[in-house]
Amino acid sequence: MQLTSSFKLVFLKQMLLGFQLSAVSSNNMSFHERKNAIKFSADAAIAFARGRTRWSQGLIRNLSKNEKNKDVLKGLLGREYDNLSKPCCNSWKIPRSKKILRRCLRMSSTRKMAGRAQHDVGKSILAKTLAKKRIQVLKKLVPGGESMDGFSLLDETLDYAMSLKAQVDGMRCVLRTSEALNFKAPTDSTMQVKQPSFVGE
Amino acid sequence: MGKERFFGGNGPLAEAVLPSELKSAAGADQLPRSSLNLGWDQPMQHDAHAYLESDISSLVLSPSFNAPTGNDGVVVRELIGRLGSICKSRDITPTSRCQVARTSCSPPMLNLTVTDDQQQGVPGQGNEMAASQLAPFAGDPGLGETAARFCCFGLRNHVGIGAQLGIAEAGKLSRVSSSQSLMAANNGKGVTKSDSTMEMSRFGGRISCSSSPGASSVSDSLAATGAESNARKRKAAPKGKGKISPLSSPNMNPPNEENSGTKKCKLREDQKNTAKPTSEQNSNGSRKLGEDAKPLEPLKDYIHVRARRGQATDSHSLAERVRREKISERMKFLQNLVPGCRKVTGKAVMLDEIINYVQSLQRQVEFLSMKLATLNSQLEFDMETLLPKDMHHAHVPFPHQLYELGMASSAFFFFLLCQQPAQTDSNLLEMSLRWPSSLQVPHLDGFTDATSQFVNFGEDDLRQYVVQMGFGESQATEPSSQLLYAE
Repeated sequence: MQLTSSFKLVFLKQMLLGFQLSAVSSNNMSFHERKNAIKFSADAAIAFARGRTRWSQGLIRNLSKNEKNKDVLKGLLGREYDNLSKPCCNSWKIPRSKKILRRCLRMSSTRKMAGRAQHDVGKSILAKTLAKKRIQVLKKLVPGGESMDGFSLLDETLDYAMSLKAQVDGMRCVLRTSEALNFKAPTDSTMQVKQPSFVGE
Repeated sequence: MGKERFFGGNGPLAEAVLPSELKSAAGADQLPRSSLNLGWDQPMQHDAHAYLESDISSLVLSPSFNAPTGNDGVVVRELIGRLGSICKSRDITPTSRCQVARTSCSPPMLNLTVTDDQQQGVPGQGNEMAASQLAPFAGDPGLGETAARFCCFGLRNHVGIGAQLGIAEAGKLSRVSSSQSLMAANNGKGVTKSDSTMEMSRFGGRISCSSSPGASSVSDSLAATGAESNARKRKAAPKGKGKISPLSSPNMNPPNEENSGTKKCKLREDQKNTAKPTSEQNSNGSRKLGEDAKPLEPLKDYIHVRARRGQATDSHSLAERVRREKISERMKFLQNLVPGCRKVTGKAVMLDEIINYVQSLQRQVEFLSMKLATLNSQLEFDMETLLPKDMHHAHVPFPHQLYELGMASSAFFFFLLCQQPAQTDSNLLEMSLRWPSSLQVPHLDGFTDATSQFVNFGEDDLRQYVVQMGFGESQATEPSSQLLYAE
């Protein structure tokens, strides 16, 4: 639904811009630095392309924790840097209220246990704990997921998964093109111009 | 019913045309032909039925308008000829159906010619011509039905002209014969045919009773119901298509047809009893639309929930149900998203799969970034040169040295990305993914081949192509041309 070509295009553009800004192709970077820079560009690009969603904000928040990257991020995102300025206060409130909620739930579940038959309790509690565990894992996976409840978490997961897929596709594409470029002589401009003729096939 | 309904498929223009033509029999030939062209020009979006019907109805109109003035038998033969030509142009298939059509059409034809003979003594040649021209009649199952229908139309128009009793009898005869033929065909065919028989029988019923009230009132009511039902049909079909994937839309269409069919049945029965004003028909139509909309309601409606039959109605359980429905809907979507998850049921397992999928995607991103890192150390990464056109995005001033990098590499990437506006359906990455794979196979050989190809695709062409295509939404052609001319 959202994997339109324009979305992918924006992502590609942003990612390549990020590559350029972080000077990825220069030789004075270690492998790990380069890899991190690439990943950083890719993540920033995908967050930019997606627009204002919870996970994109969380992602940018995570990315900007590193001060060095912050400038690059600002340059990359430009006006969109105000993605961060969305309601962050939610994340502060919810953890506290979660403790209270958990306490209440525990009490209510014990009360319910007393009322129900044994096998029912076992099944329901088992199912609930399983689901809870998985939801916890999911919250760690999705950027900015800690501050979300069940529904919105599922929504954001969906969104995030689709964007990840687009990210993977875009990076794979860039990889292939650069690999293809690698095989020919980079200085021969005529050879390079030939490549468009393949595009039509 | 039929004419206007048929024309509903053609569009509002045809509907506007129709009443005026009903009133004035003059200039009949030109307008039906234009509507005929309309039918042909429009793409076959819905099922072929609607457009076949529109074409046939346009055919019906012309002879019906000519009827007061011209020779009926000649007109009928003309009709059949045009019908055959339509079928040829539509390019529809098997011959078994053509036989059906023939059998269904020929008895009405016989009756028509019989009545013609009664009236004007036209020889039975028309029959043979009809049979021969029906031979290329490789038509839809519905075509036979519609052909029979238009024959009945022709008869109906004759009601206004000729002796009522004789025509009414012929109408009944045609109805019986066509319904018989359709029933025979039905046993072989299936669901869609059952619709047609329903409609045919209804239609036949209408014909028989229409002979009494009079042609004009019947045509008016039929027009209203026809437009109504056609509008309903059209509304139901896009709705179905909008909500459901294209794969399941053929499944939607038969139920839609059945719904509209049953509705028409109701409407016509109502009309049989009383001469209903159009407002009532509209209310029936809206009611039916409501019924059609009901199965789709749970998809749209989050807040406003109706308590279903046999379920508790207190607020807690309603809220619970809303929650569960929301979750299940999202799980369904996630199931579609995550590959290989169709058969999985249960929240926990589904969540497991989602987690695995997200984790795998994240790992893929890591891996790809590593690969890109290894590549970049070797390559000077020419692709960056395409970005200078995008300068308004970045607030960092770009060094002009970037313009000096190879024009060609930027050009190719331009080309790559410029493909995007030209292709509405396929997305850019698929295209770009296709492109490198074709490159990789013959690395050096491919380039020698490409030289010959490139001879035609000169620099000027490339520049023009790029300039014409534009690039994305925010394309300024000047920077691109600057870049292309960079040394």
